[in-house]
Amino acid sequence: MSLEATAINLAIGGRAILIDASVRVDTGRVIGLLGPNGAGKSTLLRSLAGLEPSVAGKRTLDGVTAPPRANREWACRVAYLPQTGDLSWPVTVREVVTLGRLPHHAGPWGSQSAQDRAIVDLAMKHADVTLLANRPADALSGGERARVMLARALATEADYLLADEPIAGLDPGHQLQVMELLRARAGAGMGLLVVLHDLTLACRYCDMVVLLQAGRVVAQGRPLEVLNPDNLANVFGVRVLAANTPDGPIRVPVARLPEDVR
Amino acid sequence: MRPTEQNLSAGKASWPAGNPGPGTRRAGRWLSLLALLAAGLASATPQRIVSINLCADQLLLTLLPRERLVSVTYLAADPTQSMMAEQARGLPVNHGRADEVVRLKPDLVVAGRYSQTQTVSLLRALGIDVLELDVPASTDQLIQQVKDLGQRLGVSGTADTEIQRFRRTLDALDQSALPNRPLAALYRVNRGTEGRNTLIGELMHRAGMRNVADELGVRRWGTLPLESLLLAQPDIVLVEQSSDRQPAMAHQFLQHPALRHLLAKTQTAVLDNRGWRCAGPWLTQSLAQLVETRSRWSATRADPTPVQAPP
Amino acid sequence: MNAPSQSPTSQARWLWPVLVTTTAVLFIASLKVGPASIPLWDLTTGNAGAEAATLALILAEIRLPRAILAVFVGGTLGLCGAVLQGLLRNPLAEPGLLGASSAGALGAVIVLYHGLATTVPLALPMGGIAGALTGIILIMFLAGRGARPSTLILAGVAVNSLAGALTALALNLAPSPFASLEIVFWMLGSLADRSFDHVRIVLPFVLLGWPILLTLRRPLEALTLGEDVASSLGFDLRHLQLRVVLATGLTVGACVSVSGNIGFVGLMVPHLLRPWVGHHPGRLVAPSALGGAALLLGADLLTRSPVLGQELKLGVVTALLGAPLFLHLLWHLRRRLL
Repeated sequence: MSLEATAINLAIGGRAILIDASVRVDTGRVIGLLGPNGAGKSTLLRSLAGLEPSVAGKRTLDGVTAPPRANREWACRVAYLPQTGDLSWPVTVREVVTLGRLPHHAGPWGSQSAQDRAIVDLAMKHADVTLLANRPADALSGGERARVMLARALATEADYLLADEPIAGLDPGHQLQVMELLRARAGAGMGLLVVLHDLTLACRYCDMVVLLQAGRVVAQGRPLEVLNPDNLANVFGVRVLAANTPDGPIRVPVARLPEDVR
Repeated sequence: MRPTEQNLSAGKASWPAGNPGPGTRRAGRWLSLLALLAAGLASATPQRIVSINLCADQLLLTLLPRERLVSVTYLAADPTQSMMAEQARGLPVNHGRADEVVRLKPDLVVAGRYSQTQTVSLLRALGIDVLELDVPASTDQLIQQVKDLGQRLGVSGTADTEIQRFRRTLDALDQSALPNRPLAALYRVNRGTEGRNTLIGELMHRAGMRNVADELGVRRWGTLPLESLLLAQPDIVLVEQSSDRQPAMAHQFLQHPALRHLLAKTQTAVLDNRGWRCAGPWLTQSLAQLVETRSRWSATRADPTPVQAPP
Repeated sequence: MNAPSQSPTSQARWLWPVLVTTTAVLFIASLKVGPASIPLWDLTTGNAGAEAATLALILAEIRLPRAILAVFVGGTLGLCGAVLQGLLRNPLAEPGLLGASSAGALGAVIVLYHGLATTVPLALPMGGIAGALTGIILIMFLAGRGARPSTLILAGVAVNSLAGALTALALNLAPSPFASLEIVFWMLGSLADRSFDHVRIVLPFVLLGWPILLTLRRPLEALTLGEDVASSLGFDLRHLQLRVVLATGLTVGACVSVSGNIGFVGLMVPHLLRPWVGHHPGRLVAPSALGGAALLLGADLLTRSPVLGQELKLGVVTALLGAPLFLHLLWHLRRRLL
């Protein structure tokens, strides 16, 4: 079972954003999507999610060609978690998470069933936001808010989750917490594609990483193989401190490299 | 023109105080003689007159020889707006704008008091003599206005002839002493009505009618909500209609089913708004229409006795 | 505002009963109150006495159509306010401030004063609808979804002033000498002495538009988390926008063509009701229709207040109520606006 994008090409305003980019997400795995700013990570994620209207290439879900735009059936299988936790109205946390159930109901009204409520409770439990349920969602800290948005995505009960920088702006403790939550979902059979900037966390929590540069996939494979000092120097222009510790591998950028060495 | 006639018209002492002229009759005579002299010598009497107001147009067309009217408003020649379109035909028209007027080099501009204050102050600042006509609230005020205008323009004779004829017709038509005064409702365009302290209110009184507006406490102008009109259960409804027949909200109100229902079972007169929108000697025709409506009402009454002591 | 959003059920149970009762009471008051107080009970039991026929006529031909129009017009404005706010994710969006109402008035003015309304059936509401649609499409083009509140309001100012100027121009060029005096009606609105003829003009478009607006609940809910999330939840936002534009144009245009431009209802109603539906953009929609109806019934009753003597224009009352609220909203949004 897999969600797959093959040879994706996308240009915005005449500028190529994605060039023959391919990525594959298998159920039960966490795939890290890495690359410098502007490499096209978010666009690739959105293309895969069916949010980019003018995309060329092939997208399949479990071998079946995907609809050009996300529709209700697609939304039940593939969840998307954007980077900005946009919130227009100060609804409660439970309300926000319940929005994840929307695609499971047809028609204009669609009231919640007991089963929906149970799924929402479970999603809140998995994202560790149960205690926040009745708080207005606009009055949360960054870490709380990120987990609430994650709970909303989990409440769709999708098989695949496409998450854009889910740990951006979080403190180290919350970063680890969210990565653990994602890892646990993969353990439960979900397929995850996660845009990350933290090389160490990518090494520790991803089954596979895809390295994107200027719209092209330049490397993919096991994290420790792809995130080697050569690739990191070429793609990010940095020298990293790479080490294996009793707690696992670490990759810490320590210096910017001059242009000619890259 | 016979200047001696002006003394004959002074009539009863009903002139409002504070107005020049009739209060000092003898001085007036001398003044007008002087004015005539002056007119011969240095044209102190304005010769080139421009009107920038429809009501002024019609008064001036009544009083002045045509050659002294340099320009009237474009409305004056419009048969849907003016009683005197025929007389105004061929005269140069203006749209009430200062620049048009200045070019005509008038001796005197006649304007309306309330609607054209900006234009008037601009003209005055340019050194042009402007006479502002008030809106008369009674026949007395109207008579005074015609008289003043006649004097100012040096046509007191014509003015007095008009005034005399006007008075005679008013007196001849007067029904105000009749008992059994029917209750009449005036329903003007856009739901307007008028009370006792207006010229039309006075004419309704003279036609022997009670006025719904008076009973509703409208002293001068006001709106008559349709339901107030129905509740008053008037004997007569005076519906003003515009003769232009151009679509506007103003006429939509006349199509209201509730009003039609009322009109179907009530004595009704349709007033042509040309005859009512401006005050002038022609209002005798309007009064005649009211009187005729009132007698139609009397004729249709079940009780034929003409005189009935009021309770 | 805090109390309801803290409560776990987040929708006040009493909201619907209160709204329905308020609307019903105001509707009956609107039948009863006016220059004549109508004894509704005596009239139905035949004890109204000598004036019965007149009172029945007033009730059936003047008060009833007026109250029904207040429900249709107020309901439409409340409904469109809630839906536009949900779609544009902006608490300042409403038909009046965005210029849809004044553009609708412009369309109706052109049709009415230049003779089309008397020769072509349904020309009057069609003119209003064409105007309102043009206005709202212009807004979507100038600002559209995802625009900042300030951009949206500026676009609304532009459309409003253009429509206002063109309305004055159309009235000046109209052949009727009364046209330019009637600008007050079109700018401030009124329900005075309207008849069932006007109810019949509005009815088909309300029947067409309201069901569309009332069934937008789920996509508007989804938009709580932004356009990308709403799309990813399977909602087609272009389709949603098309439905909102169409239904707003139909209902607002038809209403304005018989009532003139009545402002601020679409701003006030959703704002006042939002805390009681847990700030939920979807659940706000249906109550806003009732709230709008109640508000306009109440405002129309105020215009008839004997304290004022002459009848006030309806838009004067709604602006007196709504403008302070608008300022209050601006004050609270000023950080987001700049």
